[in-house]
Amino acid sequence: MTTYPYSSENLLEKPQKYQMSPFEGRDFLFSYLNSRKKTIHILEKNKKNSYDEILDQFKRSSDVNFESFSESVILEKFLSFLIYNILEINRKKETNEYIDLLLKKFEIKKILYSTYNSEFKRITDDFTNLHNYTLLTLIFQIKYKQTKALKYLNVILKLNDILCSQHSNLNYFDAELTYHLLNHEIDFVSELCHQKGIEFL
Amino acid sequence: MKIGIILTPDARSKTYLQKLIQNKIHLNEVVFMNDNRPKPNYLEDIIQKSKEFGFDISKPILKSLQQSQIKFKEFPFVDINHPELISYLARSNSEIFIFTGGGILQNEVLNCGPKFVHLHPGIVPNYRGSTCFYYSIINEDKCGVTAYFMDEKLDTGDIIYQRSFEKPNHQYIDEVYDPFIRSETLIDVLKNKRIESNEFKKQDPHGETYYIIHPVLKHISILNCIKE
Repeated sequence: MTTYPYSSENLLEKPQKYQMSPFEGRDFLFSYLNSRKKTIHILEKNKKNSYDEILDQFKRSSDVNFESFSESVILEKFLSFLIYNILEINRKKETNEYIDLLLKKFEIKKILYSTYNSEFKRITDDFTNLHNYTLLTLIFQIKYKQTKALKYLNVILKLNDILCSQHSNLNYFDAELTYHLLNHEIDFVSELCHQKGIEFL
Repeated sequence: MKIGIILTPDARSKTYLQKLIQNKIHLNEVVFMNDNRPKPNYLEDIIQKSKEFGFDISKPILKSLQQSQIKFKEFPFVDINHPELISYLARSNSEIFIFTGGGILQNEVLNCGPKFVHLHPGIVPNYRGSTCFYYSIINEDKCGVTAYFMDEKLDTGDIIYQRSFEKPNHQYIDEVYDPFIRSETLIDVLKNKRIESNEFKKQDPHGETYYIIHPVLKHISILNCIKE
């Protein structure tokens, strides 16, 4: 039986590199699905709000602008602001540039620091705020729904590996959000497999 | 034009070298960065598949060089930015080096004299970065290779030549398909003197950079290749 090994260790302490991962056939996709479903089952007890209700909270939340982050970027606040922006119809033009900058930052280091300077160089050693990981995953999921660009699904899978590896450390809000993020990710993978004629569910 | 090649101890370099020998293409100079890493144990299936595609992945570079009596300069490290290599390249009379490895070249090596040509497994600017053939196979059911002059950024240099390939019908993409499509493009570039032609194309600075593919997407890409 193939196992899914990419979320079993503490990925904040030992980031996964994903280099030269072996091909294990169709069974690998089933092991991935089983692994995600196990975490979803654990997190299900935290579910109170629907995904749309959670998104509505972000639509009401922000009155800042990009200039507010000209000296330092507290990532948690910045990510909430980005979510607000991508959900707005008249979003600010810088939004997509910042989202792709954060994608690059995460893909290179596989961790997110809590505070950056205005040039997005880290100014703290702390990378353990799991709220940042859930918020960034939410951003990339919104982007994937809008664009279907694989770079977003790729980073969603990696971020959710971290969230699965940390599921017992998530607070109530992040556990509820992660429950939705994992379900959406499975939907994305399932849809892609279906498009390519590959058996999945 | 005097063209050399910088080899590293991996499947890609093995393939480039074997294809050059088969096609009787003689380069001005061969440099071999060899850190004497342990020899990989390839599955028999992979060795057979590589032979179907015109090379033997199990054949060491040194053996190919010695059998064909090709002179080469060997360095005991694998680092394109190493000062010892840079010093050697600066004294070389080759104007161009084919560099089989990847990554970013620092200014010291970029400015040491010769230009560096790389074969990237993606049609730039839409497929820059790492493992982008997997993304291309999912998006377009095909893949491509770009031969370009390396510069200080990743996969952004002037384009010499681009060639498309159908997706493979087997699962050995990293080991066989990747070195195969790159080596086919290299032979095309050299045989048709595309470097000497001086007809290069500037890249659109926009485009897409990809990062190492997640195993789930990698499986979807490979299963897309081998589905019946």
